[in-house]
Amino acid sequence: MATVISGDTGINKVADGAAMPAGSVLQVSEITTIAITGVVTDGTQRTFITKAFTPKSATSTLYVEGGLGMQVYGNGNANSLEWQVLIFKGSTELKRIVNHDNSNHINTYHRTGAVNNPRHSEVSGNTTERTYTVQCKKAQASVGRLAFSNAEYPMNYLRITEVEN
Amino acid sequence: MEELNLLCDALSKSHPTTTYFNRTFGLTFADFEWTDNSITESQFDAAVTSVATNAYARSRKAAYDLLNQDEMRYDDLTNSTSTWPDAIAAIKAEFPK
Repeated sequence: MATVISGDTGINKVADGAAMPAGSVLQVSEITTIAITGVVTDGTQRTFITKAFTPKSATSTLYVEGGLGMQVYGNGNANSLEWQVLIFKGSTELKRIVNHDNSNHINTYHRTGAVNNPRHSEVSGNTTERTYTVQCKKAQASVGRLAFSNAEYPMNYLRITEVEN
Repeated sequence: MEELNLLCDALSKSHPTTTYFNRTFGLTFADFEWTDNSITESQFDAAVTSVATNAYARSRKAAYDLLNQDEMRYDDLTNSTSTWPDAIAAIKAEFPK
């Protein structure tokens, strides 16, 4: 059911009970810190950000985007290091970004840009609470390492924007 | 972070198949959660020792990198001076083995 606004007040009064105009932003929900930090060399997939979200409308579109700031250490490994940043809704994977350090595998460098930012959009479908997460894993164990820190690499976020259709 | 980076490098070299998660950025054995092919505390201590043992070499290299050594050698040849070996000797003296 679409979110409605009152026609009793405001400029350019609308009919009482009318749906929000298409394109209206109903809510924006964001979290910008990761729950776990540290240095990782194993291939375990871990959840760094969790956000519960309840749509205001069952017919809206949800734009879900996340990102992780991290430092990637190639440290002279012979092989390219691969890591993945993922968005989940509950236990369902919505989007997976796969990154490689390619020719930088011998170096230590930062990766905090758009390559770490998976995005997804979907129709809300109902107004039931659901939980989105940002997860990350290093694809190959014992090749390089990743470091996560709210202080050192703060470009961490999970943002859900709900827009009426 | 620099100390932890050095320790992680040493662990990668001495135990390349060992993987771990260090949540605290700490430098002790207890700070590491070993995932695959865990090592013993004595093996960990050996890696810590290797980092400390090589400290002089890292300090020397950092100091060497600040020198324009090619130009110093050229000037020494041209002017019959010894600025280059003097500078190297001073660095070695400052950071002994």
